[in-house]
Amino acid sequence: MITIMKHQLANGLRDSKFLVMAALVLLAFITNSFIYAERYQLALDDWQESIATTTEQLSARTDNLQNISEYAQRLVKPPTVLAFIADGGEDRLPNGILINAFVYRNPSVKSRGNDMFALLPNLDWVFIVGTLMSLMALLLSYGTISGEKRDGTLRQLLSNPVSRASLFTGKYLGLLMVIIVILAVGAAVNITLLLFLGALPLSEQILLAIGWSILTSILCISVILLLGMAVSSITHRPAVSLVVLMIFWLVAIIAVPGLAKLFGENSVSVPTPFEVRRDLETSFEDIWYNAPEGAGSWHSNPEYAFSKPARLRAETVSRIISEDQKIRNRVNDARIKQAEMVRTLACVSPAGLLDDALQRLCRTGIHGYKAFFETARRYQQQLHGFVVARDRLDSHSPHTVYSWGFGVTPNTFSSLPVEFGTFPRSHVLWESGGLYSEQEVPFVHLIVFLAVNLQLAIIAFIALACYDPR
Amino acid sequence: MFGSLFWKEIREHLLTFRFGAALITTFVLVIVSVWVLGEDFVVRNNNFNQMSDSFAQQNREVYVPSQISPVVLRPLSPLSIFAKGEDEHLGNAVQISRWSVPVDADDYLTVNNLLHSIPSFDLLTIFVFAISLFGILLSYDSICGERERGTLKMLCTNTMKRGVIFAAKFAGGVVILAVPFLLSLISALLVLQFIHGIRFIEIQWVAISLIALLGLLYGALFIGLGMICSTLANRSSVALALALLLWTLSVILIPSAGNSLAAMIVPLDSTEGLSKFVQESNTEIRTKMAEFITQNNINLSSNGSSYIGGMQPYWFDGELQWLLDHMKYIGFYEQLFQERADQLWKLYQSYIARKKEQYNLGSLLKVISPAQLLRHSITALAYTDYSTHAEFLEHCRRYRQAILDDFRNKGLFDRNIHGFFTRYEMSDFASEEIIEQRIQERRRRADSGDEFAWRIESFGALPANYFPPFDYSGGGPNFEAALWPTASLALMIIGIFALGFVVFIRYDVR
Repeated sequence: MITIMKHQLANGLRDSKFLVMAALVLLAFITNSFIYAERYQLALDDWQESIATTTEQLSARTDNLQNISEYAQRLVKPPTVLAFIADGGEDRLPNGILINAFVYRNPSVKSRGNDMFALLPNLDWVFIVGTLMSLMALLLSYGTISGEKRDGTLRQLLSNPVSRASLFTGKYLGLLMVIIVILAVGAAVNITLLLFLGALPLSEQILLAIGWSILTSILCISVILLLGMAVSSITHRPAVSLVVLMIFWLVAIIAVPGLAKLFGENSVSVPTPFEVRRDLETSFEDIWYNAPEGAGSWHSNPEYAFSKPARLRAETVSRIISEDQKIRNRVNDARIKQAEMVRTLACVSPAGLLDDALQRLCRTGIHGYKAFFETARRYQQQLHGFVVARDRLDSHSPHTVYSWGFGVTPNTFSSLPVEFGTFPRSHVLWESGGLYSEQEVPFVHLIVFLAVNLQLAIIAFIALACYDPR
Repeated sequence: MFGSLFWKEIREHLLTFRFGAALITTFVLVIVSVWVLGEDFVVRNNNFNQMSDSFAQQNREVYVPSQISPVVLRPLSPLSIFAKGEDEHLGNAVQISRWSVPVDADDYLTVNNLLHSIPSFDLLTIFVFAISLFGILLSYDSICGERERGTLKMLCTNTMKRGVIFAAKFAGGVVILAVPFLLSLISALLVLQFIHGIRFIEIQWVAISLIALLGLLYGALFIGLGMICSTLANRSSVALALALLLWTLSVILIPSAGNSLAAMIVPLDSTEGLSKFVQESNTEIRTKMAEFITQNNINLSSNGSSYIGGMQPYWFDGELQWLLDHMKYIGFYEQLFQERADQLWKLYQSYIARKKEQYNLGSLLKVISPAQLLRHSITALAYTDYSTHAEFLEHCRRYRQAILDDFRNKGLFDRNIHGFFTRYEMSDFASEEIIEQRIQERRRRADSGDEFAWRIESFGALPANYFPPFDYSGGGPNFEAALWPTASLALMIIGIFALGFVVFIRYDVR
């Protein structure tokens, strides 16, 4: 078995196909380093700039609790260190939320993506492993057994005292070693370059994520290899196994993600932005026109703030705002649910499964977005809690803590100065690990990969075992 | 001679496993994609029509010129079924406002922006990946396969010219590729016609036939490429590896790397500068407005009615001084906001220029990739590319200018400025009695149950032709923009055919 493995490995490494493909993969890994180093730097700059801006704006508003709590902060998603492994289309995902102590607006895109470009996959590990290396694995494996059948060498091999099991295992391990060599070299070069360019702050969590990512990638490639060998064992001519495998590759790697989007969109319904707008308007009108008598009026004199109409008005506006937020939350949750559905559907393809697993590990894509969004909501609650607590301390305040969207009505709650140090800040949440606090190791994905590996190995082995060399 | 070789090539392929596999795969993929996207288009189009009606209604309900802020729409392209292009994430509604120059469109139709990072599986994607891959699979062993079997030697010892052999093989391959391709395309069109009930107009049919032709050209290119590899390599497995390598480079790697590299070499400026400018100028304008109020001793609130911003419905029940104060004040800040809009637009222009620069560099890096050329030309034909969107925005900017010019001609910013925010004439404020009379009259109407008596709505909406209409047809197939990528694609085919021809003529059949 060891001899066969060595033979396969040596053969693989000497093959011109292999050399060219390996060069391509290595080139992709090197390009990846430069692209993501630059991206990380830009994202970091943007994030720090946004923190600086909010710090400046907030510290200029410490004279008045109303002022500071009303200021619309733009929370920007902190840069994802591991985007080079699984990009997850970060460029086109919303990464900024406008927020104050009372409301948030729907997340918007504020990255440096260029909308003039057609949407194409980026050169991350998911692409390199899932697309490039899977093609390579197919090319290495499609002829392993059917080629030997055609050439008649399989007959000779089997006439030696070699068991079919060890023949199969030897061939498989040899091919796997070839792939692992390329992956290891590529990943090592990639990580070294990123470290050198200063775009990879190492921590235990990040090292763990990289390790898990490499393991998942190897399992994914192994699935492709075993599939190649299975088809190769079943068919008798390499040309046929090639066509079958190429069509599989086309469907699984290229078509499935797009098809998953088409079907996922239909299976979970999400209101269009136009419908959302209409819902918001209706809900506003419902509450406002049915408000208790006096709620609509407003006077700027301080005595009015303590009157009954002012309280009614505060209640009405708070209801409008909370309904408003409920509608927005519902839409956001539906969007996330739909996107997750699409991702789950895409998992029928090994590349989709790999993509999802790596995105979970790296906290990018929809998973990163979800974490970002949750953290932002948590921050808003924290802010609101702070404002309410502060307001309680002021005995001169009417204690009607509400705001009409992004503008505070004067004289509704405390306007005492705030100590800037006590005001909750968003970046503290990120820095204390908000986005990366829970490392999610995709065990389900790993188990599925292992199970598929096992299944394909059995199929391939049975097909080989049934081969009649006569 | 050519004919018999050509037929032989076709006959040999027709019953092969790979032809069957290619036929079934293409057919299934095309039908699924067109079916789902066609349904999606019908839904989107219904939503669009609803939205369009609602905005038309909204555009009609204006009572004073300061309320004029129409929402204009770009109709959907039915050809987006075949190539979704950039249509998906660019949006198609623009609110024309005096205080800002339109730089991008709002999206009221796309349901989920979280899916923007996943490309749609449209016909264009099938062309780019499947047609090219099948082209290679059909042709990689057309020459070295015959050599391996030894039939090439016999073929070449005949009196036949080698050029004829090559041309016949090429033509046969193209026809064989065209069969699954055209078959599935025609079925897809039938599905659209008879199941979804989508009717295309003449110019769209021209565009569709051009799209089909482009797909064929693209497939032919890869057949030529496969044949070159087949001639250069001695064994079919080597030929295949070589062809797939070229395919990976030109279809997958170069387009992806081109975008990313361009983004790396020409990074876009942060938009932080833009939002900072907006914030700072807001503060500045607010300060100026406050100064203006104190300097000119303006009293803005009277009898509880006040004019807030530019878009509020306005009802008026004040004295002459109130009116005069508002005329002065509004004249002052309208100009400030309009100037700010121009300044912001200038900043945006440099930002957009940078984006354009990045895009151009990306196109240059990708120019050797036929997949990219195909994408360019097909999205231009389906008018779902960025330039169609840019053209729409340009129309919007011109429309905004037209509205502002119209206002200026009517003197709404200077000599008739009261007409900008109220429907009363100056003469209605000539004397105390006239004002008092009006107040009495309104009070009487309000008492008798007219809830709009105090409101601007009692005037009725402005006539529909009060401001210029938006004349934009919705774009159409952009044949001009599709020309250079198509020409490059054609040149590439000629080049590849010539190269293959030369290689084959020098080929040693032994």
